[in-house]
Amino acid sequence: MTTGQHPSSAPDETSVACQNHVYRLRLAGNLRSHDHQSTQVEMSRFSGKDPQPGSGAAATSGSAITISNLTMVYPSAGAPVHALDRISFDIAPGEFVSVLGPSGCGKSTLLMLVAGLRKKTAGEVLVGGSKVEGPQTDLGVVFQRDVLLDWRTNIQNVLLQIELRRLRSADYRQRAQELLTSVGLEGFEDKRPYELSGGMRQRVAICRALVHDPPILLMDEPFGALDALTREQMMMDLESLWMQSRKTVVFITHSIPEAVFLSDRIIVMSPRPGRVYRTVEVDLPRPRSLDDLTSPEFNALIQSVRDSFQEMGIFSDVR
Amino acid sequence: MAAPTRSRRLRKLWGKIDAFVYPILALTLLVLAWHYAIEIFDVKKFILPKPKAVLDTLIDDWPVIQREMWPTIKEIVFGYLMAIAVGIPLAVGIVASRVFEKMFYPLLVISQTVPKIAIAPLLLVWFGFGTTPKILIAFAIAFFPIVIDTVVGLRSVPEEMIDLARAMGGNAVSVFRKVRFPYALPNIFGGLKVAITLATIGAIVGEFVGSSEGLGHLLLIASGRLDTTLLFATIIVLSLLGIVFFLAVDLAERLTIPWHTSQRQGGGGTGTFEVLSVEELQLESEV
Repeated sequence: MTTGQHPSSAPDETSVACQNHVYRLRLAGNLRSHDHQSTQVEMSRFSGKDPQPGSGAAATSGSAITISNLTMVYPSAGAPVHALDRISFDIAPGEFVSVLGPSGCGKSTLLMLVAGLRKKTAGEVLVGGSKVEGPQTDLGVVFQRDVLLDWRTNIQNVLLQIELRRLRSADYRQRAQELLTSVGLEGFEDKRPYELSGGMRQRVAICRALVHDPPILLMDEPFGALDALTREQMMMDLESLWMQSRKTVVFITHSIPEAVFLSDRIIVMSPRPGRVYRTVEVDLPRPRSLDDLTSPEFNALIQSVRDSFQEMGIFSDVR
Repeated sequence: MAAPTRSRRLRKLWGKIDAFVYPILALTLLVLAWHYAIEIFDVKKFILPKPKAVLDTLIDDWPVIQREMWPTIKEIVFGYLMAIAVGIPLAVGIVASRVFEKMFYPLLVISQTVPKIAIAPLLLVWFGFGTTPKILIAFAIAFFPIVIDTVVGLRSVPEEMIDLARAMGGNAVSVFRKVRFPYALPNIFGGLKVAITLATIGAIVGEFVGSSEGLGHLLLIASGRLDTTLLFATIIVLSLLGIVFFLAVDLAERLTIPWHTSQRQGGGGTGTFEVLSVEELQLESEV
C-alpha cells in the first residue's frame, strides 16, 4: 500500500524518461469552468495511483508541477538558513498531494516558491510545463489566515481574485454566488468578513481561490487556525468539493490524519534543511467519509507516516 | 418574543445621547464654579470676567467676531488641504521608492525640528501680511503627522495580504489601490485628525506674528486693550471652531471607513447585540 524511499538522507529522485501518455479529460460537477481560463489541461490523471513503484509520479510532459533540485537558502544575521535542500518531485494533473512535515521544514517556503512569490536559490520549478519566474497566474492560493478584506463584502472578496486579474467582475458574479452557496454560505454574500466565524471566513477564502477556476490549488495549512471540530468538518467539505472538480492540489499540513484523509499521495519532509524523506501512496477509495477515519487501512497509513517521523527523530517515546 | 420593554427603549436612547450629556454636565459645573469662584474670591474683572459678561460680549461684539472668523477659517482650511495634497503623495513616494525615502525622509524630519514660529517672520518677509504666509505656516505644521501616519499605515499591511494579492495576479498599482491604501486608511485618518488641530494652531501662530485680520489678530487687540472679556469670547469661538473642524474630519472618517473596528459598535461582531438585564432575559424565556 505504501511506496517509499529507503530511510536515508538521499533526496527523492525524479524519474527520468518522458513518456507521452494520453489520459482522458475529466471535468465534472457544478463548478464548470469558463472558457477564458486555461483549463485546457491536455493530460489529466484520473486517480493518484502510481503505476511505477518507487519512482514517484511519472515525469510526463503533462505533469502539472515539476520540482527538481529545488534549494532555498535564506541569508540571516547568523548562519544562513537552509530551508530547502534539493527537493525533487512531480505532481500529476488532478492529483491531491499533501506535504507533511514538522515545523520549520520548509513546507510553506516550498509553496511560496511554487506560487512564484519568492525567489529560489537553486533548482527548478515548472508549473504547467513552464518555468516559474514570478507570481504565477493560473493558481488558486489559500493561506492559513483567510486574509479577507474587511472593507469589502464577502462576495466582493471572492471577486477580488477576478478584479486583480483584470477580468470583468460581472461575468463571474454568478459563479462566485454558486461557490459561496456550495460551501454553505448562501445569504452571507453581502455581509462583511468580520461578521463571520473563522471557519466561514476560510470558506470564503477557498471560494476566492476557486472562482477563476484555476487548474492548480495551493493550500498552506488552511485549517490551521480553526478549532478541531471545524477542522474536521472543513476537511470533509474540501474532499467533496475537490471530488467535483478534481483539480491539482498541493496541501501543506502538519496533521497526519488530515493528510491521509485528503490526499492521493503524501510527501513526508524531514526537518530543516527540508528534504523529501519519503513518499506515501494513499489508495483508499473515494469518496472518503467519517467512517474511514476509523478503518484499519486508514490507521495503518497513519501509523506508517508516524513511524517515519519517529525514524527522523521528531517523536521520541521517552519513558 | 416580548415587545421591547419601555426600559429597554430608554436605555437605547440613553446610549445614543450619553456621549453628549456627560460633557455638557461637566461644562455646566465648570461654568458654575467659575462664576462662584469670582464671587467668593472677588476676582478683578480684567483678570477673570464673569461667565455672564463673556456671554454678553459674545453677543454684542458678534459682528466683529464673525467678520474676523472668516479669514481664519480660510487659512485653516487651505493650509489643511494643502497639507493633505502634499503629505499623502509624499508618503506614498516614501513607501514606494527606497531612493525617494533615503533622499527625503531625513529632510522631512529636519524640517520638523525647526520651530514654525521661528520661520513665521521669514514667511512674512517673503509673502507679506496677507493670508498666504498663514496658510503656509498652517500647512508646515499640519503636514508632518499626515506623512508619518500614512507611511506607517501603508507599511503595516500584513505581508500575507500582499503575497495573496500578487498571487491573485495583481500588479503593483492594483495591489496598492485595492489592498494597501484601503488598509492604511484608519492610520491615515488618525493623522488627519491630529493635523486639523495643528492647522488651527498654525493659522493662529501666523496671525500672531503679523496680521491685520483674523481671530488671532483679534486676540492680540483684545489683550492689548486688556479687554479680557473679548479675549475670552474669542477663545471660546476659536475652540468651537476647532471642535467643528475636528468633528468634520471624524464624520469623514465614519463615512469612509465604516468597516473598521474603531467605528463598529463594541469593536466587532454584528453590532446588533443588546445588553439585557436578567429580568428581561427571564421574561423572554417565559413567553
